[in-house]
Amino acid sequence: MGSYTNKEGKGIPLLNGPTEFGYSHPAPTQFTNQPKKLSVQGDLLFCVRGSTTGRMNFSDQVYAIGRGLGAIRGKNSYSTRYVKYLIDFYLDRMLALCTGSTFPNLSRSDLENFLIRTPDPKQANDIAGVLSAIDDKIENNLAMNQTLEEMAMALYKHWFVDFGPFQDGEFVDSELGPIPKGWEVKGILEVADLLSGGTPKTRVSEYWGGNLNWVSAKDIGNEGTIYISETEKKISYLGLNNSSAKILPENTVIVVARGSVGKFGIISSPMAMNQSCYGLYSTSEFSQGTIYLIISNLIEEFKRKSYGSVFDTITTSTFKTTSVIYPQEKIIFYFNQIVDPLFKMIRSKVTENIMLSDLRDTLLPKLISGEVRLKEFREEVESAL
Amino acid sequence: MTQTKADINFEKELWNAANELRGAVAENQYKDYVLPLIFLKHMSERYEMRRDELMDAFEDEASNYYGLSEDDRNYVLEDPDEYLSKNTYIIPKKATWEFLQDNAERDNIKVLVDEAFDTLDETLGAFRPELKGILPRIFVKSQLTSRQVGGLINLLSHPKLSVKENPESDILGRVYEYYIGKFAIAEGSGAGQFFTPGSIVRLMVEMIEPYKGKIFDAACGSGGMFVQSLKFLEAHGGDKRNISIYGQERYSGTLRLCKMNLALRDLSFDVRLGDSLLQDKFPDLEADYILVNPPFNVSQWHPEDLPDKDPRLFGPKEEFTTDGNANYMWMQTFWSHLSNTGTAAVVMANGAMTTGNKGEKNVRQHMVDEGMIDAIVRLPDKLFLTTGIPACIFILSKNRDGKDGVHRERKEEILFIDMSKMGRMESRRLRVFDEADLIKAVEAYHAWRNLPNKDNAPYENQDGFCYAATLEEVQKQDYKLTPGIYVGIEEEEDDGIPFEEKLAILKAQLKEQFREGEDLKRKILDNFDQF
Repeated sequence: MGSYTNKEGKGIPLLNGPTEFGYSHPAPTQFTNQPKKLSVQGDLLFCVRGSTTGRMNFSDQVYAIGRGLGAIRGKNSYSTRYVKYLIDFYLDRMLALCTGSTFPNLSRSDLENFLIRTPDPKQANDIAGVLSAIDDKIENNLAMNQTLEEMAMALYKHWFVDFGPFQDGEFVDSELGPIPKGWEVKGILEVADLLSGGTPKTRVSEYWGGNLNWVSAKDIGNEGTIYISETEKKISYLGLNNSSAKILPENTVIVVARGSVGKFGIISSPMAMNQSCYGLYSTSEFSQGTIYLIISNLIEEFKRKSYGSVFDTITTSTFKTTSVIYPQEKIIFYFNQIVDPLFKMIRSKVTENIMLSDLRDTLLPKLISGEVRLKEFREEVESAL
Repeated sequence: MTQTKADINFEKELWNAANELRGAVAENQYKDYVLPLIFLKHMSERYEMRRDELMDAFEDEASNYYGLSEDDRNYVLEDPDEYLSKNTYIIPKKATWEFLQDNAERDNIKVLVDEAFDTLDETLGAFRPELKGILPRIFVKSQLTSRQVGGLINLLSHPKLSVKENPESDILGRVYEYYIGKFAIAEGSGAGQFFTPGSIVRLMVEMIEPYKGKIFDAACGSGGMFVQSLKFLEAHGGDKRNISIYGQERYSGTLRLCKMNLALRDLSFDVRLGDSLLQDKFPDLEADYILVNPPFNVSQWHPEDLPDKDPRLFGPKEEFTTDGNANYMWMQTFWSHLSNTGTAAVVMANGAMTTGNKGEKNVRQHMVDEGMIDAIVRLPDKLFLTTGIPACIFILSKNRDGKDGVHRERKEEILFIDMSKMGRMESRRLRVFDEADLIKAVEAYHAWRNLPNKDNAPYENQDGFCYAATLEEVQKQDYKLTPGIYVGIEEEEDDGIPFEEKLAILKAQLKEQFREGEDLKRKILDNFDQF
């Protein structure tokens, strides 16, 4: 296998499993000159083995697919999109059929023998249209957020790395190279507080499963979202009070220090976090959005500086020895004014996506099973959008 | 040299063959059975080849041996000196491979093999006392059946595995290396001391260039460092008679392998048994080169047993050792064994670059302040077969005053090289360096170390890769030696699009996304009316 695959874009993009899956379609990283099976545009890519069995993406182009994936195409006038929602609906029951010992494993015959009830194609495709409009909007929001983040980043680089708007002024030397006159170089801990986290005792069950979001590396950077709004594990206030975990203010920028070193994000509401992360909260004129951009710009340097006997680690001394450029306050204010609305917009789209996917998840079973008519939902939807 | 596919296939067969020993012999002991047989076969074939050469000479008119009488011929064929001059020995019949092969099917083959080992051991030991005892009697007392032993002999008899059939191919050397590599995997995590990956040895050797003089490895394992040095020497047209080899190894089984490994390659050597930390077997040795991969992070090594005035120590024992970690006792050992122009390349655990433990940090601080450290190379992870642990290389040198006419004065500097992002995953578990990676690092080091010359481009710091730091800079970083601290980050590849243009593109994209978003919103709402 190895010799036929490459990462240089030669041949056809190759997918062996769901690793490269995105929200609706994959972002391929490897290619092959010797494809075994191909999917065509519009096919549904379906993961058939392992712990990720049942994960789906649409094929947005031709892909070479490995044995871990199947390509599914609607037939008899049923759209592929409808088939996807059908599988969403029946997935749990399909997985129950799986024979794999540790992990599920769906065979072709498992799928072929799976019987379902379905309306006529016209009605079925209408249902798919309703649901996919919602999915398309979620994707549209994600793309919008991507653009907004790129804009903020480009602005930051233009202002504070290339000093674009300040080229006409005088420059002076600093430990970070020439900077506009009147600006300073400060330690990052002079412009933001370093906040730490903790883990309540895992064997005390009352400490866990409460209402409080508790961030770990897993919760950061999922599906390209910079905001963390929901965590996998939650703790109770009792757990919070009996551990070194603290509630961090909303918009705290979080950096993973151990394990997935260098992942980072912003929390969209007050939450706690574990001790493998650090939080940064501005003590200066920089807004939290700007702090995010500063960290984003420094993250490679953090990773380089990270050290440890076996695993690389970002430590407090990594932050202590890192400097940032500090412009005059009026410039900071002005910059905040430009980027903060971008971050607000990103955040509102993240929230909107949570509501949209809730809505889709509520509608899906009812529509597929033919339980409801859509009009009953109109009001709820209008408030979500 | 081209590595053909056929080689790889035959290596696979070798592994399968070793697996036939399964059940009777623990995996980590395969080498103890297979490698002595390979050694015996090699010695036996070399004897045959030399004998054939002499016989040919008797018939060759151009030769001094032409036209000898029957008696003289027999005398020549039995004269040990005729063989010794070619680094070969007369092997008595019952220690020849042919004899073992002929008797492979017999029930007493285990006895015959052990006797062959005894005989060969005596034969070699008579001329080279240092080889005495490398072939122990192990087959009779093993759980192996005579059929298994016979099978093994037949398998190793394959013409592909014959030096005679494939002269110049170093085929047995490669088989030997292959087995050591494979067995290192079977050996589990303890095998670090047993096998240093070729990528790392090659890098060290190319960096410090051990052309001639005394080479020392205080934790020599099976002798991989020496063999690689020999390859380097051959590749650069050097002569192996110009190097002498000194090694110390703690485990007697491994030391035997080392001796076989070196004898196979006609290297002369002095390797001794003992724990280098506590019993330095070469107290007076001053080596020109040290190449070593000591076991990492050895704890409870009993520094209390060191004499108070151990000459290797940089200062008081209590302040310059710790029972928790021997890494820096190794460093002091190596330093004390360098000649006054010597250079050492040491594979080290990453932790050594930053540890704040008193007994270790004192040593590191001393080494920095006294200008002992020439360069630090950070390696990527997964270079070792058996452990994902990331490691680094310390280059120590006493030749930094610029007085030898070749190297630059650099006592106030340390070169930091960060290779942590280099190398290619050869399999899911193992990373190797490509030629280009090795060249890049070696060239940077030589450009920095050497006086300007026609072979080297002048040295320049490269963001994200290498940086020549002053001692003061290192002191300011609290003596931390992680290259990442100094080399900075790579210049990000600029997409070349001017800011204004980029922003215009993003703006247009965003507008389009807004419009699309509005359309979708309407569509979602309209859907609800339709049903």
